[in-house]
Amino acid sequence: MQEAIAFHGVSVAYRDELVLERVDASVPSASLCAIVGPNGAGKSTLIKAALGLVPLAAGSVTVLGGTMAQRRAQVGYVPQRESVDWEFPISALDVVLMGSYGRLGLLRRPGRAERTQAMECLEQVGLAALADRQISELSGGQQQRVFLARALMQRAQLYLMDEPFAGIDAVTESAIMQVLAALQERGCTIVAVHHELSTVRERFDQVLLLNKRVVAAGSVATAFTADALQRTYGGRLAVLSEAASDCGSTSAGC
Amino acid sequence: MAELLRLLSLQDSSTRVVMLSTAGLAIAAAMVGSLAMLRRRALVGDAVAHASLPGICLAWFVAGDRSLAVLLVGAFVLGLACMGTMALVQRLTNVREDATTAIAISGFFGLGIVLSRMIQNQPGGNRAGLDGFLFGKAASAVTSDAWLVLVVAGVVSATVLGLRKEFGLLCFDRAFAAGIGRPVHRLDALLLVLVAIVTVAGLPSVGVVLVVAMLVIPPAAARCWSVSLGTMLAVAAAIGAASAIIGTGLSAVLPPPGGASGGGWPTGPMIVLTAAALFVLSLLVAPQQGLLTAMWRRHRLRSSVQSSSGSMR
Repeated sequence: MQEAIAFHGVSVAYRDELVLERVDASVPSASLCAIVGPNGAGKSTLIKAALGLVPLAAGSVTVLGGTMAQRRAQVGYVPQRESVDWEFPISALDVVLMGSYGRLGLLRRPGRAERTQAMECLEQVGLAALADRQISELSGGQQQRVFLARALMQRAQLYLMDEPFAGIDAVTESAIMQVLAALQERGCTIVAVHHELSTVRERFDQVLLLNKRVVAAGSVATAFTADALQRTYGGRLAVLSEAASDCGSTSAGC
Repeated sequence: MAELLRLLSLQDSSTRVVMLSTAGLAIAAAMVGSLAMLRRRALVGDAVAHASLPGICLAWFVAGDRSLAVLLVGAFVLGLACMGTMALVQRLTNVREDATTAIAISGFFGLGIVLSRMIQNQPGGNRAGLDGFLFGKAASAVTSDAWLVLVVAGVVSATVLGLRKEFGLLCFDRAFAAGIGRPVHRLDALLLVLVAIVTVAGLPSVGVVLVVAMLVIPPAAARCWSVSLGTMLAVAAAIGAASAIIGTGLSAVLPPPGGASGGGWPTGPMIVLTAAALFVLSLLVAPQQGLLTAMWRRHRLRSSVQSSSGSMR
């Protein structure tokens, strides 16, 4: 299978406003793809459209060679951290266990086997020691890693992540990068909404530049150009072109 | 005193059933209320309760049959209509949710008051029945009605417990639930229907004005003690049951406020006051967030810091 996910002429509207217009794009298998674009460009909406969380006004999405309904069990999802109530009475381990709900069905509850798996997933993100902690007591970076562990618990082929690197500390950043690399090694595909242009080159190999429409898409080497960034952001930020041209090798300078 | 003993020992079979049903309902309401609160829908119960008054009146007009079951079906139908109206306004307009709720509560309640006045002016309109719905009067409930409430409470509780994993996921992370293919719209709707059912079933004992307290106060108190959804449901249920039993008992055994000739203490307010007292207690002494607990911890920290700096000298 060549493409992990493909968008065919996808349009999405909120009320009477088009937020995505005829998006045609595909992400090859076993790649790490960043969705990049300005605020309001429809980056999160594209992920939600793929998952079927928002209705498509037009077009279709192919996931792992089938429809989302057919492949749902093979798709992992990391929502934005701000989308949930972190004061909810629940432990880190119990959040990770939610990753097993998809295969458990409506009535079965996670058992000993699932708890062991959940501990392994927490271990992979370096949080095994905090398994019984209330999520309200975790730092922002730790909360993000709990979300990642829950996605690992889903044992998916394709992972859709909404800003996994937003507002995190250095430890979390390296932990997330390690996990993503390991997933890619196993042949998994990761598609992530990403905000920091300066880190696109070091962290991803594919990129999708989005501003309601697809501006450019493909490998970072060919598609992540100064010209494409200017067109994506409408020339509002002069620094952007530098991010594209200079930051490839000297990540420390950015 | 003799009556208090008789009540507490539950020798009187009708008191026993009434108390059991009120407690059972309080348990169901506390569990459903916990989910509603975590889903940030705590006030939906209040809207349903206030919409139930016109529902009861309409059922009285339409059916002619004044049995509790028929009146409660009327209440339930208008409760759902009220929720539907609120959802529609939310969807089609820019009116904010809190404003929508306030408009629905007052609008439906105003209609209910007008309708109930029409009933009182009718020849057969015995006003005592409707007054009971405003503030509750469990102590005088009929045994068969009590059984009905008990069965409803049992079904609701079983539904919550059976689906608590799914409801927990829905309340914590609706987007993820939808992402793994859960029918989140249907689960949301089911939760609202459960809220409507316990609200309506609570009307005879606690009344229109205060029934929302049974959905909100025990969960809010339980939240202080909880580290998981499971403990929150259990503690809320226990606090709800305790409030119901103590409140019903007090309204039955206390000497009536207006002397023997006047009416007795209203049950609803007694139950609500008991729950409120347990809530305040929880706020003060709960292990993690309790105000007194925190003060005591600060005091201990300060004295340990002072004693260690004293030994330095």
